[in-house]
Amino acid sequence: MSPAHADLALVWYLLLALVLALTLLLDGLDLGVGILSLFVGREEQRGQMMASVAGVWHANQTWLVVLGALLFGAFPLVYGLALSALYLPVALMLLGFILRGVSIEYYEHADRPRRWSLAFGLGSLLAAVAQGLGLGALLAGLPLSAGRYLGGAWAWLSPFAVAVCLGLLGSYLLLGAAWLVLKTGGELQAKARRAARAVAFFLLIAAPLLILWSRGLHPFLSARWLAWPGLLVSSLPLALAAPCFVALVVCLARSWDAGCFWFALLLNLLLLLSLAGSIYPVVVPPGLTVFQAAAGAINLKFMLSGVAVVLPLMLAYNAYQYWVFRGKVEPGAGYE
Amino acid sequence: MDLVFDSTLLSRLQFALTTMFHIIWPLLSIGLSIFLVVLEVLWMRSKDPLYYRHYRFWSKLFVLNFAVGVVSGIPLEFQFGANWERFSVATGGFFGSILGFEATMAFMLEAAFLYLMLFGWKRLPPKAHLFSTCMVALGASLSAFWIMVANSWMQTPAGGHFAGGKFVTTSYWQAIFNPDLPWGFSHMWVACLETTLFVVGGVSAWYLLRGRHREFFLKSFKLAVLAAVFIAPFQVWLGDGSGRAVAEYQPTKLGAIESHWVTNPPGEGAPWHALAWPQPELQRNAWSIDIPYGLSLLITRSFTGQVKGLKDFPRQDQPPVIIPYFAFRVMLGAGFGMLFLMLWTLWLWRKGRLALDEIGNQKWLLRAWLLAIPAAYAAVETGWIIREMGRQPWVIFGHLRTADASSLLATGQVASTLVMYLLIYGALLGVFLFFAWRLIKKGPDLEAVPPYYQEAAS
Repeated sequence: MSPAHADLALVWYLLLALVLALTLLLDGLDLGVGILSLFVGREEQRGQMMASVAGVWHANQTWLVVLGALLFGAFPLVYGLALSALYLPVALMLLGFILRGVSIEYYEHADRPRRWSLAFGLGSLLAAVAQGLGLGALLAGLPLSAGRYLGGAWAWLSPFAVAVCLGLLGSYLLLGAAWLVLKTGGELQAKARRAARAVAFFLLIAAPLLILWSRGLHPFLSARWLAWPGLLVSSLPLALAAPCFVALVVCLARSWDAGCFWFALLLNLLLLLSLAGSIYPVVVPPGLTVFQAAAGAINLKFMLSGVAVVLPLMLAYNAYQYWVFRGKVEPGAGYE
Repeated sequence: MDLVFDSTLLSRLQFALTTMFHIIWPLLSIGLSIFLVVLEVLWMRSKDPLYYRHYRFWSKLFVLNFAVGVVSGIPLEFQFGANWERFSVATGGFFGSILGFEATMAFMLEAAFLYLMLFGWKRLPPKAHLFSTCMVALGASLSAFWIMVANSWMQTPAGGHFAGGKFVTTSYWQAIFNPDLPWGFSHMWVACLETTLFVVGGVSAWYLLRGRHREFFLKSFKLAVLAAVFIAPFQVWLGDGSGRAVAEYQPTKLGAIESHWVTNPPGEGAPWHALAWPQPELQRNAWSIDIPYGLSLLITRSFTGQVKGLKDFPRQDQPPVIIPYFAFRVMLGAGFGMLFLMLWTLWLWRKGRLALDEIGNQKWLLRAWLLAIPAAYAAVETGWIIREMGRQPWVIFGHLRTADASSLLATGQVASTLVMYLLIYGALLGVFLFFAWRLIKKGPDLEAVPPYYQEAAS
């Protein structure tokens, strides 16, 4: 691989990390809201929760579609291997998305809203659990030989994958709860605040345990953590996560709604950065690197020239969309 | 037994099921989004609340349809990797980059502006709202463009070569604008418009037949007829052009569509088998009703032009014949049926029979418009059957066989997701029909107050 080709592969690794972060943070937020809706007793409040994401959930979900397509273009080997190896979790995730998407759109037309809000909650939970198991399986590593996947239908299921899944659920729940703190008031907001605090403390314990476990699993990660500059890219985000956590807890206690949301977002972002920083340039542990998986230089270059123009536009109109739908959502009220 | 439970075959069945189900929805998403732009512009120019109320009515149907389209479409993108891993790797990033353009340029545009369009009436100034409607329409059509680029490249791969089993792109321009793209995209995009206009016309005809909101729906009915005047003949012309392109670039597909086995010798014309019973195992037709010189005329525009027959190609390179042959006849019948319906309606219009107090008596015309709804969908489905089955046994025509493209999955895995999709897509169709039927029965809100221009209207 020529140096220019390797640089392109690195650029695409960073771009995909950005899109992955947008997917996990933004869609994580409305999946979190969906899971939390399973724990709310009143239909009016469930409707309010759905209304809080009604204007943005679809764009949030679309980041995953963008991620899948760009991964297909930039690293076709990873795309093919990961999706066929994770066949069942991917199918379950898609089933979850179907349930979530249809229920949120058909909710306002329904005579019996309970069915649809339940489908919204269960679909969100299913999609999140499947994503967590899939992510866990990828981090645990796929049994590969000469670019072929050697595991069977259930090889993705492991204790480590379940642990990562719990961690990701925690992360989604924190984002969802923080979003509800920002977008609602009264009783629902108070519930969301309590949930956010509980989940934040869960993450405080779970994140370090997961990091230690993954280092035990992959010796190359430990080596990375002991040497410069790997030490910096993997541990600096974690060092920043600590004050961020404190700030989140303070905001929750003082009812600073906006601060609570932004610190929850930042905390998740830092955890992700640490993850991406530790494993680069490996994309599928233990051995598949970005350089082996990259598409041809002309493909990477052409795609980059298109996406470099479109991505800033996408971010701009997504931000505009959030701006238009800013403000609190009242109980029982949809958008009009 | 091995053949029946082969995981490649199951993956093919699953892909056929999911794409045939999915394609139902983009038709209206693409067509209705353009119709909504037309309605909003008409409203902003005339300030007539009638157009606003039309917008609100059709946009409700649009959302019900759009939601199913989105959730049924997402699995497709992931199926390439999950079920067709060897295909995904063999396309060497080209195919994926095209899907990447679709997702970033089209899909996100649609996703973001849809909600500004639906929920933004009181939050956006009038021009920003119109802009949102336009962006949804642009996103929907751009999405169709990129998907057709990907599909047409599989029909007529260009812009590179295969080395070591992988496609190496040399020219993106040639790969994107491959020989099939102009015909493939325009035929499909116009199919979206045609289906939509017959849905709008057909739903309007239902109200006219029932005598409900006659004035309101006569408006949309006439708009549909006007659109049909341009679109129905144009689509027939595009279909003819597509057929001739197929003859040039995918002669085996043409042979299957027409059940044409033997190349006509020089100086003789190839007949068009209007109706026949193909016997692929014997490489002939059991019987056929022929129109002499028909196929030569259709394809080469001359009485004795040469049209290659299927027997010129080895058996292992021939596609299935029976299904494409009959599917083509269904598509042809539906396409010409819609053309004649347009001409019939136009004739009655000229005689003044579409006037408000006359239209209710045109029972057979209105019933025919109702029938045109399933006919339009049938034309699209059969068109895709022809396009995809006719490409077999190749997934990338001439380069990669379908049998070499699938993931090496256990049959149980694929069988379980196939059943899952059957159940969930069946449920989705049921839910859509239930809610759409309820929406139509309820009818439009004729009292809806427009958010802007109330002063001008009152």
